[in-house]
Amino acid sequence: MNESGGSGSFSSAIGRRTRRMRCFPGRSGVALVIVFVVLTLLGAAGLSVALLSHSSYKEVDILSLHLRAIAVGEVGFAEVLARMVATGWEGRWFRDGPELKQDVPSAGGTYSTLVRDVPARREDSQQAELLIRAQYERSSVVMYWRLLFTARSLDGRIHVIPLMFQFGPDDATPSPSAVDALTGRVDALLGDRERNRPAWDNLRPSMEGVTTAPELAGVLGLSPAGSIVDSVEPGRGRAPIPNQVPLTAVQTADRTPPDVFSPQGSPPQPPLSPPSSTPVSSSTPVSSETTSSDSEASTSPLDCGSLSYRDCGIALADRLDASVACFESDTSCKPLFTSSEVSRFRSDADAAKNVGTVANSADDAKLVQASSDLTSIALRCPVCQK
Amino acid sequence: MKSPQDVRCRRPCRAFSTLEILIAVVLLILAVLPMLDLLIGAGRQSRQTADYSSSLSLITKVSEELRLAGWENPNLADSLRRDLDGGRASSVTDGHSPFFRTIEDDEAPYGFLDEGRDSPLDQTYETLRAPLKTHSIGFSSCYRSLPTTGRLLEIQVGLSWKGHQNRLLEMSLPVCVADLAVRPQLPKAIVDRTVADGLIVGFLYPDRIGRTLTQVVSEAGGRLDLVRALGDCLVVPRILAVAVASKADQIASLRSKVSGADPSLDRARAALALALIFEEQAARYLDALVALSTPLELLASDWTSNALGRQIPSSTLISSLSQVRDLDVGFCRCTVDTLAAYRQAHNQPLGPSLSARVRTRTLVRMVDVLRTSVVALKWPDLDYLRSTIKGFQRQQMGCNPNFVAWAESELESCRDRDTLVASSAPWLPTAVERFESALQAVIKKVQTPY
Repeated sequence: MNESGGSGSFSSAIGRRTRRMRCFPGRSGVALVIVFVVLTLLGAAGLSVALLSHSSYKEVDILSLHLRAIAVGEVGFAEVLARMVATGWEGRWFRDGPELKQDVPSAGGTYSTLVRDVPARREDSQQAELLIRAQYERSSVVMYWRLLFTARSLDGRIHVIPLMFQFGPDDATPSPSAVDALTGRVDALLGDRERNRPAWDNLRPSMEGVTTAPELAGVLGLSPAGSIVDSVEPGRGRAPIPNQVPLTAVQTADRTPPDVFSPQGSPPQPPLSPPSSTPVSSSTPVSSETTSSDSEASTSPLDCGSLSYRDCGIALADRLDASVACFESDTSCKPLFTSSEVSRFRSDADAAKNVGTVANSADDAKLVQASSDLTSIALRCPVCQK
Repeated sequence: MKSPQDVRCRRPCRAFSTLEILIAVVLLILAVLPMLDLLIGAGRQSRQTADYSSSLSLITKVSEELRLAGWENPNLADSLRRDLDGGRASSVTDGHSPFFRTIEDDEAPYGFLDEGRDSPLDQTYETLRAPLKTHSIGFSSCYRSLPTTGRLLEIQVGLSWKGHQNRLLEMSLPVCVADLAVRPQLPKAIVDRTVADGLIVGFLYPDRIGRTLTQVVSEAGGRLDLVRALGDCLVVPRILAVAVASKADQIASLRSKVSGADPSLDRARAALALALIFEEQAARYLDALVALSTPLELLASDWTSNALGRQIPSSTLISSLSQVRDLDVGFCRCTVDTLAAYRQAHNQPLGPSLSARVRTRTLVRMVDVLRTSVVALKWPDLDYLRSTIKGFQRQQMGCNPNFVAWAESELESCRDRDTLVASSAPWLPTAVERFESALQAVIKKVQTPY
């Protein structure tokens, strides 16, 4: 009895403790809290997954609408082109003034067109310009063509040739003022093309028969440090595609870059480019990543002279700043650059200015970018070619 | 002895704990079930998006290639019918669809995409192939005439694939290609009727210059349509002769450049410029032949001595009409010159200095001029034409499928003279004959005493 009594008092003591624990105010409803937290986490995860998959679906949908808007615009272009080919230059229907067509239904969307002779040109230049704004549901696209009517010939087709195509600004509507804005830009580009033609003619014979990227780079006077590796894996059971043609800097050092743009008769100066941080042997296969950055760097061989790595970056940034300042003040060059490009050039210049004193791949990339900016400015704007 | 606190809390604590777990389990079940559904749905949507995205890429690639083919292959409609098996859908994998016969230049000789040697989208590229196994692409095409003038080839590209639970999904994209074939144009001299009528007054009624043709003819008591018909026959050759003569200096200078000591590229360009001038002149002559056939036929049937309202000696009329006779001679001469200049620009030693695209275009134009000469002038050059096209086709194998398709269609249409005539513009085979017979009839009628 004692034992049992003892035992009873012991168990009742345990029971009391347990009951007290159960009745502890902090423990009540704790499972619900856990469930609530789990549910919240699950809900958040589910919602994120749903949102992500929905947004990727939405992006594809936007892309699809954009492509369909382009298809609508292409239909409009084909209609105008077919009519031009049938009428010829003499019989063109817009000879007395621009023709504007609004909201023509086609291919599930609508398009508006403006077609006119290129202003301020001789009659025998036989050039017309066409602006199309195509709309497909929520998506719209603006396209511009400069068209050349060729001479009458026995050749049974293609009497109208697109000289230049551009996507126009998204907010442009088919109106003479909107086309005016593009006309000057396209005229400048066509002028560049004509000025570059002699250089291209000189370059072309040496490019005949060239089938690999390294060979092409060599012809263009580039000096990739190392071999360029084809990054496409061969198919199952197929031999690797032999595209690893080594092309060392030494092999191409004597090749002078072609004179691709010298409207004023002065040869262009190659912009600065950064040094390769790690010398790469021509026989050493390199990863596509390294190759890409090295080949970019080698597009304009570095000539920093006695400058240190950091000073080289600063010199590059100064040149970039000077070029930006130049085309911002020059009326002929200013329209050739968009505001987003200008801000990109500025930020690239800032980045180049802040490179470290010791070469590293991250800073190399910044210098490559600044160098590439300089090249693109030089190609587009001869006045500011520093 | 139980404390009052123990008595108070025992039952509620136990009941609440059980209830709590029950509620928790129910809540969990209630929440997890839709959550599972949500996750499964998201996964499904993600797969659908991936499918849709790859389908969009495929259909865009095909549309772009069709648009390019519209420029490079004048026989695109024929090629579509032949290659695409009448528009029946074909799988994009295993080389069934002509647009996916080769996807990687992975076999020597490199630089050429050789069907049968280089890989299609087959087991070799299983990772790419697997998600596209059910994708099939098909086409339908038709010509549509524009309400104004001109014609379009409308192609509907359709892509179908099996999606979730084997549901058949479809996507389509329209592609329009302008029909770039050119019809004969009225000679520039008679496009503007007011100008042409003024010139006719000057030729036929020189004493009434300054008045309109309608007034002059009505005062003279002639027939306006016959006066215009005769007037056009007099005006067009004269203006053409002036236009041809105005190019004489340029032609002489280009000829000396072609045979000079300039670099090959400059000489090739000069030869090309020469060919373009001759071709334009030949085209103008041909346009004139076609355009004047109708007025000549009208004159042949209705001409009377008082059609003009005034008497003109038949000898004067005949000498005027003799200039019309020069049109077919001029067409023939210019065609010969065009072909010679194109050949010079295209062939060794000058040809290789031209860019590949310009050289190809030169050959295509040469083929077009040869076709015209075989059909319109009945020249026996069919074998030469076929061998030229065959050589070009061999050269383009594995390089440009549009040019290969073009050559194939051309060879098919040049099988023999009848096929060639049938595939030409309907007015072309009879253009010269019709003109010559109408002109003979008019001269005969003018010579005949009334």
